Amino acid sequence: MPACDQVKLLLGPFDDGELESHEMEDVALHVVNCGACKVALDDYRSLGVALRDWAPQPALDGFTTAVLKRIDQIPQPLWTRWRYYLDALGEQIGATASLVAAGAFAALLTAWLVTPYAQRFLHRSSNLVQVASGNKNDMTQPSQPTSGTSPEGAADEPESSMITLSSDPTTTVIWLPNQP
Amino acid sequence: MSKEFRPATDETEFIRKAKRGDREAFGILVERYQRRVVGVALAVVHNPEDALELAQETFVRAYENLASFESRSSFSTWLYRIAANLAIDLRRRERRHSFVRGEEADSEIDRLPSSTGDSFAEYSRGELNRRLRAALEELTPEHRAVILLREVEGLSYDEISDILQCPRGTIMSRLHYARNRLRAILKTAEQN
Repeated sequence: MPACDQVKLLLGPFDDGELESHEMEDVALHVVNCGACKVALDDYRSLGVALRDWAPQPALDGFTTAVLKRIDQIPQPLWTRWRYYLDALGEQIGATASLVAAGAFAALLTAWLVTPYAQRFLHRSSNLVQVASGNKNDMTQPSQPTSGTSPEGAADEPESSMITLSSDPTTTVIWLPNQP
Repeated sequence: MSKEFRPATDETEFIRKAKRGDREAFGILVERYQRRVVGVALAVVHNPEDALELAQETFVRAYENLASFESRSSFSTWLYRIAANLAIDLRRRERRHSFVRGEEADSEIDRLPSSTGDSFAEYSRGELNRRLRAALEELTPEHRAVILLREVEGLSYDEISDILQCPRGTIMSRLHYARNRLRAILKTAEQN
């Protein structure tokens, strides 16, 4: 067990809870068995209570207002005002840039999501309209192969074209003008 | 000033705004820390009027130097340090008190009767306060600051060390001395 001389230096920190755990144990054990140190510890505690009771509490009414009034009276150098202005401006520009970036992102996202549907819709329309130029009779031969006509039937061939109709929007429609 | 103050995140935001010259944001910080800053100043100067004046000066200095605050320490510690420095400077200028060294306090304690029952119980409340005030006057500003910051403001040794910018060991030593000195003064008065 530590001696009184050693412990008396630790009584305050012990009461304040500022010692390591093993020191706390040592001091606690000592105080239980030492009347003088126990009295000293009680005195420290009483002193703390008395100080807290005694401590004046100045009235703080109007304190903040007084501080802000004093701050208002501080002449601000031009560069300081300029810096405040730039900071505020920078923040506004930053906010605007963020807003624009967010808007652009939303627009891109929307376009990305909507485009396939739009394409499908447009394809369907184009299939219905058909690109049908040339002879009306062409439209009557949908079953003809798409790769042109055979040389044997050249005399009967219309001036142009071969159009394939399909309900499939991905089908490629090839129009081949007749070669002279 | 009716805005509710949420610690940490709000504080950072208010400091950022105050750095840009936002008075209202700084006013909220003043509201939050005024009592503690006054307490720190009072711990050193030992005079409520001076403490209030120093606390105002602390906030004005803080506002002027906000740009140099870089969040390496907490805002509160930074404020308390300004307050403590201003108060110690004022006290040094006004110093007219004699002080007793730590060893003397210990020897005075040793000469006292060892047990007096309920500590300081024989004083009336008014008498105890008067004697406490007189006893505190006998301490150096440094010793008084340490014991008041600990006992009244409830700051930890590390916080006191940070605010007064001296090692933790010095804080412990000053606290030990201040306690023993006050104890000796009060006991002696009680004996008389």
